[in-house]
Amino acid sequence: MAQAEWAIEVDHVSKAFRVHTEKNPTLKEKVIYARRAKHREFVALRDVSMTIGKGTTVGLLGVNGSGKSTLLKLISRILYPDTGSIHVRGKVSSLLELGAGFHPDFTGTENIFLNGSLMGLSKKEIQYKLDEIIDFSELGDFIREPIRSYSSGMYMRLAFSVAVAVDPEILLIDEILAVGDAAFQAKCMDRLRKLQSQNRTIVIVTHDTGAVERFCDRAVWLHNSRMVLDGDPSDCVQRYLQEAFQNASEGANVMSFDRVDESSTDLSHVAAGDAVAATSAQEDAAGERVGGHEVVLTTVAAHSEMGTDIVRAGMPLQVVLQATCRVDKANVVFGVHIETEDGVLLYGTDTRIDLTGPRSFVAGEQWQVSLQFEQLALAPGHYALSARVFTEAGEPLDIWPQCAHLTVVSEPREVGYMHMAHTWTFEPKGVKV
Amino acid sequence: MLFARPKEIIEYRSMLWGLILSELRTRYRGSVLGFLWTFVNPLLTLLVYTLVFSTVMRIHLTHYAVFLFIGLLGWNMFSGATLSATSVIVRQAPMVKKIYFPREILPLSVVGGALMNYLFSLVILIPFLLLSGYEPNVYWLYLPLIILIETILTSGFALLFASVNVYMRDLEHVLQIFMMLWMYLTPVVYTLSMVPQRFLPIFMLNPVTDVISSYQDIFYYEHSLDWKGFLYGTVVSVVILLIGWSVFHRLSRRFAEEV
Repeated sequence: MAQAEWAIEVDHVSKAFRVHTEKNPTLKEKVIYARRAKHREFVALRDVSMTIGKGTTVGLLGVNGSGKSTLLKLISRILYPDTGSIHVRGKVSSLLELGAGFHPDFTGTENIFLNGSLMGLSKKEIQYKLDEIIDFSELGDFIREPIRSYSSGMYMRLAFSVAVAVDPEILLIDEILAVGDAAFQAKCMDRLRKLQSQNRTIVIVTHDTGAVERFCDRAVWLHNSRMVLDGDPSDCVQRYLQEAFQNASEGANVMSFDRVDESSTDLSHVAAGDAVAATSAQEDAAGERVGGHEVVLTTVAAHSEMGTDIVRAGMPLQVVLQATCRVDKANVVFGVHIETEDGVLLYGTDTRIDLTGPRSFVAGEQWQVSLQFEQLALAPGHYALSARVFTEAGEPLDIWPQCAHLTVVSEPREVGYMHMAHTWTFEPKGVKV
Repeated sequence: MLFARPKEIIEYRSMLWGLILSELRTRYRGSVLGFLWTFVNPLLTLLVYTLVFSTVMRIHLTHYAVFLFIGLLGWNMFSGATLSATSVIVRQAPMVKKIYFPREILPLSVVGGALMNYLFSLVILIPFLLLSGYEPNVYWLYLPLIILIETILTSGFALLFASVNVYMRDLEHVLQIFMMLWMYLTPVVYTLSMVPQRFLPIFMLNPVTDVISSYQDIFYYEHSLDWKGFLYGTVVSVVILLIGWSVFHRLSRRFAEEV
């Protein structure tokens, strides 16, 4: 899309937040600490510039705390930049947080009027669209109930229905679609596609990288308050995932308050918040590492041409185990399991099944055992690897569940767990008269 | 700039109206008397003040209850709206943080609610006057003008205090006490002639004095406005509105971060 006609122009924008050490400063403190900074500055955005053309759909990527939501709030004028400027052409409708602009004591219908009026619609305009909004939300009888009784999914249905009904020229969406059920999410996506086809501008923040690849014309990756990459969605997603997971596995996981003093896009020191959250959740869920540890695993990693812990579907993957033998041990078997994020075993193999490798090891020896997949038959998604060392008799030596994570990416986004090589054929078979 | 803000507020008038209505509707939600409280509340307040000031304090003024009622209704609109508006930005923090709208709407909706309330209370004030032997007179036609000036004055203070309170939360507490003092520096429970000469300048500087006196002029004394005083009140009200609005505008940029 030519950028001749822009919808949103962000020009060298920086934004810092004051973080008060104490909430609700009292008069006494105001007087005592007058003129002395009693707060620290937290830079949420640093020198970000972008021009979003009319009719473009842009996905904002980044780990938690990278500045995505701040950028959306700046565009929707809830916040103002410290330096730089933002220009917006056209009516903006934003879906930033659940329940914004709703009154819990009012019924769904009353809230449609309230929320619509917050978006600058007159009562008449809302009346005109009321049925359409209620139909779209599928809230049925609940529309006449006070929304304090709504679930978060129902809130979202109402909020989304109003937001798209106001026929915005620019729609800003921050994550909230995730709380809807699958059917409603699909419906939302349909509606968003319709808006796309009407040349509306959409800016969306989501952690569903698949959605960014499928749905966006362009992706912007924010990291550590700066814009790292701006361009093709697939490239952005892949680089983003690669960095985020790499940081997580390196344990660079603390959300640094003092990114103020950090000068850069230096990715090695940064919070990979999302990835870390996912990792720790998985560790909680996973079983404990067990075994007699006569043979002990030191590292487990998956490598591909894309890097560590990430691979393109259908491409080679090498799982490398490093092991140390503490005592002489015979009949040792090495194995690898590939599991889904919620622990369903998809595939497992070991050296006994495959009748390969040496069986006996001597104390002090160190071994690197590699398992090579020529074409990884996994669909895009996130997976976990478990490494297992045990004896032929089944005695566990080192069973290490979910010791590595694997992200599979791919251009066409197939569904399911498997990546199956396939071809489609169409043959004309004549015409039925 | 000067006209850009009012223009945007006009664009959001349906939101302003929606907030006023929801304020009125939710105020007495869950109470037995419900909306009737709008009428019962000032009557009970009147009863208390009349008891105290005519029997204990022995203020002798013909139709003292009428005098008091006129002043109280006018005062309640000012003080109620100002106090409520002071904390409105903080109270509505979720909205301020999550959606864009001209922030002025919030304090202005509180003032609007108080204004509606005042209009409703006329439904009791007028019969109250008639029952006390007063008859409608031509000066009542000045009423809309007085209400307009009070609305301008109240909006000015509402905008000023609402924005400052975001950064200095003590203001709302200080103001609650100060309002009490302010009421006694306004001729609500006694006439200006009862005020000792040396305190009179304070009363005369107070712009609320001119508003309240004007209500009393047309309803109680049944004569025309004191134009000199009224003009002073008008000028001060407009100045306070301009100050309040410009302070509010300047401070509102960081509201979403500070609340």
